[in-house]
Amino acid sequence: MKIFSSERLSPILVKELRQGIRSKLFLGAFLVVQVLLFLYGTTLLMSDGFRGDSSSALALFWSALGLPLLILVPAMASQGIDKEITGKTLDLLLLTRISSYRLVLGKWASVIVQSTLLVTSALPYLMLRYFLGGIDVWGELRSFAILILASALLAGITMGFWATKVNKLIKGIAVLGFLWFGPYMFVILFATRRGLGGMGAGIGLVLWVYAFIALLMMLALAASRIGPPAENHSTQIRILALVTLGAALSIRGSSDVEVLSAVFASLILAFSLIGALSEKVRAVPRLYAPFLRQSGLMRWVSFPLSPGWPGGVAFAALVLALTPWFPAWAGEFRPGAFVALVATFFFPAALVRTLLRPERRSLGLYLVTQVLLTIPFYVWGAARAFDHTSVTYAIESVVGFFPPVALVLELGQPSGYTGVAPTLEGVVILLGSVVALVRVARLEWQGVVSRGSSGSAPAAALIEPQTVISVAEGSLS
Amino acid sequence: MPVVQVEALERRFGAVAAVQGVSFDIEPGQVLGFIGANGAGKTTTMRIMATLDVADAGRVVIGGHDVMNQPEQVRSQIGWMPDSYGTYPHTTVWEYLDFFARAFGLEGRARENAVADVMAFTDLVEIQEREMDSLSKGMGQRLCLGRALLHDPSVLILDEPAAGLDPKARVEFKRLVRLLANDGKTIFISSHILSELEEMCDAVLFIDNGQIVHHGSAESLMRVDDESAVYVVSLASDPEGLARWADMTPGVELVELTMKGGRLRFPMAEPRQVAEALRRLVADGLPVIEFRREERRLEQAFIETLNKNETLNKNETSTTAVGNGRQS
Repeated sequence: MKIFSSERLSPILVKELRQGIRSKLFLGAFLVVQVLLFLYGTTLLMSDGFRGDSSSALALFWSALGLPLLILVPAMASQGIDKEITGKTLDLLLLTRISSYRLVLGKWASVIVQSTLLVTSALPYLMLRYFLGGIDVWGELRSFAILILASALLAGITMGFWATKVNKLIKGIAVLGFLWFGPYMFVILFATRRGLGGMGAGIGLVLWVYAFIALLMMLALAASRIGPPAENHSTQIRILALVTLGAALSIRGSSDVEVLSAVFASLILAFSLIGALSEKVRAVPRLYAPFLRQSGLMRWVSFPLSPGWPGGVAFAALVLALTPWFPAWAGEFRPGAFVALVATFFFPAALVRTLLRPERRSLGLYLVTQVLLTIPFYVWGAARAFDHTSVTYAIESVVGFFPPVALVLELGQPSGYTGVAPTLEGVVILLGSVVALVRVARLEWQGVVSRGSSGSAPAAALIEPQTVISVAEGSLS
Repeated sequence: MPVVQVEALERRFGAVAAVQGVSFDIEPGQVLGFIGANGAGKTTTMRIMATLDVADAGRVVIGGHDVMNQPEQVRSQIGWMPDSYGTYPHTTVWEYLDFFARAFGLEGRARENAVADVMAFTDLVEIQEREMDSLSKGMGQRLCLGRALLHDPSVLILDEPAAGLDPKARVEFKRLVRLLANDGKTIFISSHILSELEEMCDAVLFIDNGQIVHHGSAESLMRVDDESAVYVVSLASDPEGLARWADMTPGVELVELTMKGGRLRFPMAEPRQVAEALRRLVADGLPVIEFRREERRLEQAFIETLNKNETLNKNETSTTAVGNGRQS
């Protein structure tokens, strides 16, 4: 009865394993792996001159393991959080002592254990290959470890992404696309054992560093989506983004390594910046108390890490201000592109914050605004294709100031593009966005920490900063 | 001192005000019923109390801890039972309880004892090896109650726990709630089945459109506001005799005749006068089989309270409109 009765294991891990290893999906995956490996073993034994290190043997062996681990297991993981929400079991879990982060971590750990179980079942066939083909056992074991890690990374990222409030159809397409990419990621990671192409051995480290940060970020994101309103996960996500920034600023090597580092870092940072700029302000005093407790300079320094979009604006400004110092861009700093880059993040945020009602200011609207702003670019492209010089010129000289079109035009430098940034107009748009954002952010932040003037102000607005701190510390009876 | 204090609670979902200025207290050991139509604000109020949602304004304090700022302390003191609970596939009753006991931080012997105790209390011992998916609604609700009791909370928040139960399971559930109340637990329970709350609760709280419209004992609500009393009289013969008797007898009014008798109203329900009238009813030769005082059922009281509240709101609105008209 008490198969998993260890006191040391996380309760959520115990529960997930109890459920997971009895599920039809896991049993099916296990059986498929066994059948494929058995067929592989039989073929190996019956064929004359079929060596364990031949390319056919390698392809068969790693496909039998790679497909379930890099596609099936991450697909299973993506459903982990969703099942708790749709199954109406999440609330019950959140009322226990398990924090939402531990909950996500436990679910992810159980996926790793299940992946490990699948891989371990292939060890006898590895030995068979060793006796038949004289393969490098340590190298193969390292590949096993890479396979498990890759599976764990994919599982964590799909789990976090699936927990977002994005439309399920979009999420489904994105996850399928990502899982299609999964095996290629393994090939890349596998290849980094010997260096990837001409990029050198350092590329493997870069990949692992960013993959690990992305994993932690996605797990924190998943926790933030399911956690109770009084839990703060934003600070953790922003600290991870700062770690990414630190890595991007400090990783040096060949130009390929530096460019790849900058690209991966930019993807992670863009993701965290969009989240920070569109994050709602929650009327929970204890979320802000640790930041309000700081005095003088420390309050300013910690402000970018405070949850909610007002802190997010400061955070985005900090991150974007440091991006020109990426080693990959050394000696290639283009003020026009920089202005357009910063405006790409701030301009849609300013539109959303100033034009829409507070309850509608969400991540979805931010993204929709961003997409709508790209429409002129497609018009420009179409006009170029049909050789409508007047239209292309009109877009370049008017709409081209506005991000993200300005950034696309500036970075892409398409043929025939005359270049509109940096211009006075581009800088004005950026400054206007920043001023608008700061103005609204100040109002909302004051609403959090000081006495609100209207009845519709959030609950926290009715509490003085000192009271926020004392309430959070439990000293107010 | 109240163990639960709810002060001026407000919660909006966009343009909809789900909870508007709700305030009430619950004393230690009290069983407080929470009644309201669908969408009245019951579940929202309960979710805020259970730290699962955040109020836009107002405050909830449970056991001296603020739910918004000290949710961990509050969670250790409450047991929450939602209106519908989810099941885990491939999980037995024992495994479910064992998992939650672990999740509540119980270890070793303490966990084993807690699981055994709640299984014994909720009569789940015999089905501990059954998978959750195969449980009946009644068994499931007992399991859900058992889960809520694992960490021995002092306050239980039960959101429509008897919804969908068959009569036998409902009786059994009521018995468990009474046992818990006798054990000193403070219980806040919502239901659509008003008669159930009438039997279980020390007091009831009516909510309508996010506002509390009544807070008091069920008896006080069921009592007719004025001093009159209505008695149901059953006769062995023609009910017309009752009508004639009521016409001739001072201080008695006939409300209506029924197939087997009728309903009599005593405008001044002073017990001695009622007793004297009923004595005369028998003495005057009417073949009386039974008479009993009629009380409003809780359902009726609920509807009348809602209607009264609606009328008050309408009057207030028209008064304000008139006032505004004068001002302008």
